[in-house]
This record gives sequence, C-alpha cells and structure tokens, in this order.
Amino acid sequence: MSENFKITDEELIKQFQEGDEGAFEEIVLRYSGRLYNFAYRFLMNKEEAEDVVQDTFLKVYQKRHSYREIAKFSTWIYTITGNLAKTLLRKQRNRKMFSFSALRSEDREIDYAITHEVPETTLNSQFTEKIIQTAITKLPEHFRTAIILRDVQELSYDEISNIIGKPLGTIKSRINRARLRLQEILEEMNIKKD
Amino acid sequence: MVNCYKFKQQISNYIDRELSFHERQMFDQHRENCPSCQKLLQSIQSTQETMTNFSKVKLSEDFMTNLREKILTDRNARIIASEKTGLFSQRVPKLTYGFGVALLAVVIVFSTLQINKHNAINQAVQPMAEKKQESAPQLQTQQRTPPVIPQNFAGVGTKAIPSDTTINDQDKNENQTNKPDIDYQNRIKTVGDRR
Repeated sequence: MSENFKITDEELIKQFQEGDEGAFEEIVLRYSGRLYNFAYRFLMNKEEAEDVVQDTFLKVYQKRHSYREIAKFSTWIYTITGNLAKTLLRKQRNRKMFSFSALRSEDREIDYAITHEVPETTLNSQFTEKIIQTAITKLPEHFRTAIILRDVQELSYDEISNIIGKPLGTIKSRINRARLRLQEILEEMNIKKD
Repeated sequence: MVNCYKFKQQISNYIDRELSFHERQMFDQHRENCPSCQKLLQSIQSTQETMTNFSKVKLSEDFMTNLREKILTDRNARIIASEKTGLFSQRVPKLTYGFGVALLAVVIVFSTLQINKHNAINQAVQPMAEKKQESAPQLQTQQRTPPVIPQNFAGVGTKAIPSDTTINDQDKNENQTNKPDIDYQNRIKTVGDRR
C-alpha cells in the first residue's frame, strides 16, 4: 500500500502550507486514484465518487493550515473523503435516491465487456466483483467504511482506527463482524439468485 | 478449546495472522473438525482476495482541469462574499475611525499636559507674588500710620528696651499684641543712635 516517494506526504503538505502550489498538485497525483477507488466502492457511483474526491482536494486546499503533523497525512485525507462520502450517502438516503438506476448504469459495463469477447475467467471475476460490490453496499455504513479501508485499500488497523476515530480493539472487532456479515449477505444473494 | 462461536470471533485475527502460536494451533484443530467453519473461512478469504484485487476505477481525464476550476470558482466566491459582507468595504472606514479616535486621544493628552504644566507654573509663581504683596502693604501702612506716642514714653530714656533676640517666650504674647509699639520704639532707638 505505502509507496516510496522521495518526499513524504507530510513534507509535501508542509511545502504547500508555505505556498508551493506544485506540492498540492503532487498530493493530488498521489492520492486521487486511491481516494477515488475508496469513494467509488463506498458509493458505487463514479460521478458521485469523483465529486467526493474533488471536494476532498478542495477541502485540503482550503484547510491546508489546519493540518498539523500529529496525524499521518494519509489518515487526514482519508478521513475527509470518508466523511464527505458518508454525508453524500445520508443525503441520498434522505432523498430515497438509492438506486436501481445507479446499479444498472454500472451493469452496462459488463454488457459492454460481453460484446468484446472478454475471456471467461475475467468475465467471472468481473461478475464476482459486481456481486461482492453490491453486497458491500448492503452493509451498514460503519461496517462498510471499515471493510473497504481494510480489504480494498489495505490500510493497517492502526490507520483505520485513526481515520474512523475509534479504539483499535473496536476496529478489529468491527472488521471481523463486517466480514461475517458480508458472507451472510452474499449467501442470501446466492439463495435469491438460485 | 475453540468452539464455533469462538472460531467466528477469532476468524479475522487468524486471517490477519494476529493469533499466537498456541491460539493458531487450537484454531486449526477446530477448523479441521468443523466443515461449516472451514467453509466460512474459505469464503471469507476468497472474498477478501477478490476485494483486494478489485479492478481499479480510473478518474475522468478532465479531473485535474475540473478541480482547478472548482478551486478557482471557490476562491472567487470567497472574495465576492467577503466584499459583500464588507470585509474589504468596511476596512477603510474602520481604519479612518480608528485613526480619528487615536488623533483625538493624542489631542486630549497633549492639552491635558499643557494645562497641567500651566497650572504648575502658576502655582510656583503665585506664592512669590503673594509674599511680595504681603510685605509691600505692611511697609505702606507702617509709613502711612502716624506715629503713636505711647503714654509711658517718658520712661524711655531710663528703661532699657529689649531687642527681638532677647525677648523671652513669656513675653511673646505681650509683644505680639504690642508689636507696632515695639517697632516704633526700635525706630526711635535707631534714630537716637544716629544722632
């Protein structure tokens, strides 16, 4: 997960705090992909995920001076993305917008893949991925965040604990319960499918 | 001894290799003897592997351009908002008021100091003037008052007149009441000495 850069994230944000706009662009390059994948797995909508990532960087830009080197920069930026994604999800729930249409728009990618003669193994893995992704969206919000950060983003328990703001023990127990609950959902989905 | 409930509780610790050697042995023992727990472990590990290898979604090509625009729009919006709320427009009057108040304070302090200085000079000059005024009229009155010849003037030549330095304290009151007479007598004495 952690990549070896010559300049650390913390040094970059410091440079940005001192007025180096180039450092901000470097931060965007380093984190945009990771954050986008995190937001996408959480929201399961590409446009919304991209909006969330843009808003994250906008917040980093605006609030750059509020970052202190007490926490890791990655923890700080993941916390911002997670909070924005949760806020968006709650707004969606309030509007009852979730979302058969969103699922269908993603399904179109599979249809597209079929017409282009993709190997069967890839097709199977895409299908499995889609099922698991759908199951993830059925998890309660706190389980969803924890399991995505651990099993998709491969962050350490310590880092997840800092991002979510809960003790390490709580996070370990939460991830365990999230994995078990995900299996129950997948079983339920298989039963319905059969 | 690990049962199914304990197995489920420890399953993530097992996957993440956070169990001790002894705990792991107990866990494996149960797994080998319990097909449902074995199946559960396999499904979780398989799901986890799929999640780790989830296809990476890519951002749209104009992500960076859109972000720059967003930042610029936000910056402009902030400037306009601050102008509307008067951060800029009120800054100049605020400075003017501040300058005015400071100037007024300086004027007040300066004038107070000037007044104090003037009073101090007056206080220093007045006593001197008063002393002069006090001593001057006395001389005039002494000059103007006609000499009063005391009734016991006849004994002046025979009786010695005490000087101011030899006056006893007991005689002070008497001297104060008769002061014009003593002065007069002294003057006569000095006139007599001249002759």
